[in-house]
Amino acid sequence: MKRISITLTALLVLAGVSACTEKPQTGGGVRQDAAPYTGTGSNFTQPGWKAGDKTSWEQQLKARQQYSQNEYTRTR
Amino acid sequence: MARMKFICDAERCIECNGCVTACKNEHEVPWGVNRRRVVTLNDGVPGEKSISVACMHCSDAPCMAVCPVNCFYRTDEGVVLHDKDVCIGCGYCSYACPFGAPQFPSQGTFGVRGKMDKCTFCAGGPEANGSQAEFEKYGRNRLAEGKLPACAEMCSTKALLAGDGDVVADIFRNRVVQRGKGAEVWGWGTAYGTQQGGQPPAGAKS
Amino acid sequence: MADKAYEKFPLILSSGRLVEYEGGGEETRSNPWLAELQQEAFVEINPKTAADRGIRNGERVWLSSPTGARLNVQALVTERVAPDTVWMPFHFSGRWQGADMLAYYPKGAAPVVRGEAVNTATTYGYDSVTMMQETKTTICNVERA
Repeated sequence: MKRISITLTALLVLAGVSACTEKPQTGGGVRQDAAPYTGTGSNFTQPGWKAGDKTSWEQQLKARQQYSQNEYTRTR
Repeated sequence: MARMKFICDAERCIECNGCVTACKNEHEVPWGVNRRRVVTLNDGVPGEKSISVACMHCSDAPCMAVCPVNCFYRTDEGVVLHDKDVCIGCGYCSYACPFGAPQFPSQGTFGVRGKMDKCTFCAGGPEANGSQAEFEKYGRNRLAEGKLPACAEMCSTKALLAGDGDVVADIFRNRVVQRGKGAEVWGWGTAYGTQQGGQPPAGAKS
Repeated sequence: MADKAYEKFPLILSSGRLVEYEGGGEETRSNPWLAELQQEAFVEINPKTAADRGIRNGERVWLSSPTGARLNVQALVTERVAPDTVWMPFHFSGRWQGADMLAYYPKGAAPVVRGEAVNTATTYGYDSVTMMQETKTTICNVERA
C-alpha cells in the first residue's frame, strides 16, 4: 500500500513538473522560407558579408548591432 | 546565433514615434494597420513612461498556437512569420496575441477583414528574399540584406534595441552597469537625492 | 483695460509644437505616416478647467479669443497644463471657424489632416518695455460645442 502511494505521488509530481521546460512549438507552417543569409542579390545589400555564408552574415549583423545600437563603443 | 529579440527601454523612450514612422515608410503599411505603436502611460503627469510595442516574436507564440490554417512558421533565428496566401482572415491570432500585434486592413467579421499583417522583424515572408512579390505582401526584407529592423535603427534615443538576443542583452546590461537603472539613468538621484524618477525631490514644495 | 477682456477671456492660451508636424503643416500633414499619428487639432485643458465647463476628454469645444475668432477643436483633458492655461499645437490649417475648407483646395492638393489654425486666435500682444511681439500666446475662453 505504502509502495503504491509513493509511486503514485512520484507520478503526480512528474506530471506536475512536465510543463516546466520549453516545449518546442510544432505546427511549422505550410510553406518554407529561404533563410536570410542567402541574401537578396539587390544593390542595397549591406557590404561586409557573403551571400550564402551563414557565419559571415551572423558576424556582420552582430557587428552592426554594436556600432549602430551601442553608444558606449564610441563614448567613455 | 541566438534568437532575434526586441527590447524597448521605457526610461529612454521619448514617444517620438520615429520607430512607427520608420516601419510605416519601410514597408508602406496602409492607413489603419499599426505594425508598431508607442504606448504612453500617465501622459502629462510626472512619471510618464512610453514604450514601443510590436510583435515580440514569442518563443511560444499564441498566434501560432491558435491559427486554424497553420499559416505561421518560425525561422531559425526565432522570427515568427506567416503566409498571407494561406491566411483566411479569421482574426483568432489577433484575439490570442497579448501585444495586439496581428492587424487587419479592413473592419468586418471573419474573412472580410483581409489578410493579417504584423511586424516581420524586417524579415519579409515566404516569397523569394527581396522580390517584388515579397515587398508588396510583407514589406522590405532587411535581414536578408544584412541589416537590422528599421524601427531599431531609427530609434532616436536607442531605447528600442533589436537583433541577436545575446548582443541585445549585453548592450542593455552594459548600460545598466554604466548608468544604473530606473531613475538613476538620468541622474535624478545624484542631483536631487535618492528618489524614484517623477517624484518631487525631498523637501520641495509640491 | 477698459473693455475688461480678462473677464471675458479668463484663460491663457499658449501654442507650441508637435513631434509629428513641422511649421505650417501643409507638407507634413500631407504625409500619410505622420498624419495618422495626429489626426485632429486639439486643445489641452486642465481637468479642473474642463470640469468647470462640463467638457469631457475627446469632446468638441469652441475656443474664443479677443480677435473674435471661434475655433472648433477637440479637447484633450490632461494635467499637463495648469488650471489657468490651455495649449494648442500650431501646425494645423484647413478648417475655418468650424467649417472644413476641403472644397477650397485645388483638387488632390488638400492635406490628409486638416484642423483649426491657432494663429486665428492669437492676438497682437507685445512686451510693454521692448515692444517685442508676442506671437505664440493670448487670452481665450473655452466652452463646450
